[in-house]
This record gives sequence, structure tokens and C-alpha cells, in this order.
Amino acid sequence: MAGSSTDPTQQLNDYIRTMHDQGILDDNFDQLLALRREQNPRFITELISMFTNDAEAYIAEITNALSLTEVDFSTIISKLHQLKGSTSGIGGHRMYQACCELRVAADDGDKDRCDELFLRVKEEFNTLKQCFDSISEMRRNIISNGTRRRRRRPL
Amino acid sequence: MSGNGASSSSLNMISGEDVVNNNLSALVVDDSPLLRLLHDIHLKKYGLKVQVAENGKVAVDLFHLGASFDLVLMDKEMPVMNGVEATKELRAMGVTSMIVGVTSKDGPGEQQAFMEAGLDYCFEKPLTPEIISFLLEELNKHNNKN
Repeated sequence: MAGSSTDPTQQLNDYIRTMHDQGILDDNFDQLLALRREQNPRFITELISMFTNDAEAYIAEITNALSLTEVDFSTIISKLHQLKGSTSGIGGHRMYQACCELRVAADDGDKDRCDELFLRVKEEFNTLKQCFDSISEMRRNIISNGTRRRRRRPL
Repeated sequence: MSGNGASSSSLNMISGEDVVNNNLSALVVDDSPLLRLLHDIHLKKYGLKVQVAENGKVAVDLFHLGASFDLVLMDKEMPVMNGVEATKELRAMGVTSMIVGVTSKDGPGEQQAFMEAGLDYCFEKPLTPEIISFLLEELNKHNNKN
């Protein structure tokens, strides 16, 4: 990352830009950041938490459906549609693309390909979660830096 | 433009601040809780009164019960009743609300089939503030004519 900064806000901005460059996040995440300024301070955290909880539930259901002797492609497609929608809304670009590829395999009823592509979906989900964890940590630093500066002001 | 799946770059956008609407209502129909929340927040930013429905049947039932909305954001794929069926049913009931389809990035064929059900517009999800501004501008023009 060129021109690294010790300013926490700049570090966060640089990190988000890097996530964009790597294709992990897209413009939809930036839209959420823009909304954050008009909502409560925990808006992004709550949204990420909602996404993560929902995604974990959908992934668990897809895992079950894929593990059946008679693979339940109908459930896979249904849960994948919801996972795609949430991922698109949160701005998880690479994970969304992985879901799209899995959808094609599910439509084709190709179990082996589904297994392979579902692994990629889970990997991208873990990457996205780590990204969000880092962003949350940086935002906490920004907030606590802001609090310390206000306390140092003379009365 | 009308009847096409327009992209945000082809639209004649105005600033969001110019279209604050305190008298308009919207119904967000989507089975994704996160997308319902996002669209709800975006629309409320422009002063709309917003209700949400988790599938097409809930949306149709609301209209059967006498509810009316100026704008309906309709997801395509939903359990119980999907967006295509719900749109056809609403138009058959005589609903004249602006109905805007929201679809995944799955190709123009998907949008065309949805448009033929009776949509006014169809866009990829999630809707951006720019697209919402455009829709509200079109809604205002439509309401000013009547």
C-alpha cells in the first residue's frame, strides 16, 4: 500500500480501497458507508452482523442439502438465491461471483461441481468476514481516538 | 426508457435533495431481510412511508385488504409467490402503482420476462440512490399529470 499513514481514518480508507482492488468489496459497500453517516453509529456493524448470521444459516442449509444421498438441488437453489441477494447488498463482490457460479452448477444438477464451487463460496465468505472484522477493528480505533482527543481538551 | 431495464449511467439523474417526497408511499417486496432493510432505509431517506413484505403473496394480500402504494419494489425470485406472479396478479386487480422489478445480475432475458408481467421498470439489485432518485422523479411527473 503506497504512502502508508498512521492516521486511523486514512488507514481505514486505504484498507477499503485495497479490498476494492482485490475484488473483495464493490460499490454496494460504499453505498452502505454513505448511508452510515445518516443512520446510527452502529449501523454498519449491525448490518454486517445481520449479513454474517444470515449467511452462516444459508451455508449450513446448503451444506445439509448437498450432503443428502439424493441431493436437494431445489433447497440449494433457494438458499443460494437468498445468499446471493444478501451478499450483493453488503457489497461482497467475489463471494457474489462464487455464488453465481455455484448457482449454474446447481441448475445443472452437477453434484461434484457443486461441491467444488461451494468450497469456494465458503472460502470467499471467510475472506469477507475477515475483511469486515478488520474494518470493524479500525472503526473502533477511530472512535476511541476521537474519544481520547475530546477528553484531552481543556475544560 | 419506459419498459426497459435501464442502467444508472443511461438515466438523466437529478440530485436526491430535489425529490424529498412526504406524501408518497412504497412497498418493498423481497425475501431477503437485508435487502428489505437497505431499500427501506434508502426510500425513507427521501421521505417516503415504507412498508415491507417478504414475498409476493403478502404484497398481493396487502392490496386485497385495501392498501395502496405509489411505488412497489418487487424482487423476482421469492418463495410462496414470486415477483412475476405477484406483478401479474396486481395488474389483473387493476393496480396502477409504479411497479419496479429488482433482479440479480443474471442477464437481460431474466429482466425481459419480468417486464412482460407488467413492470414499469426493472433494475439490478440493490437499487442505488441514483436509481431511486430517478424513480421518484418519474413518480412525481406521473402524479403531476393526474
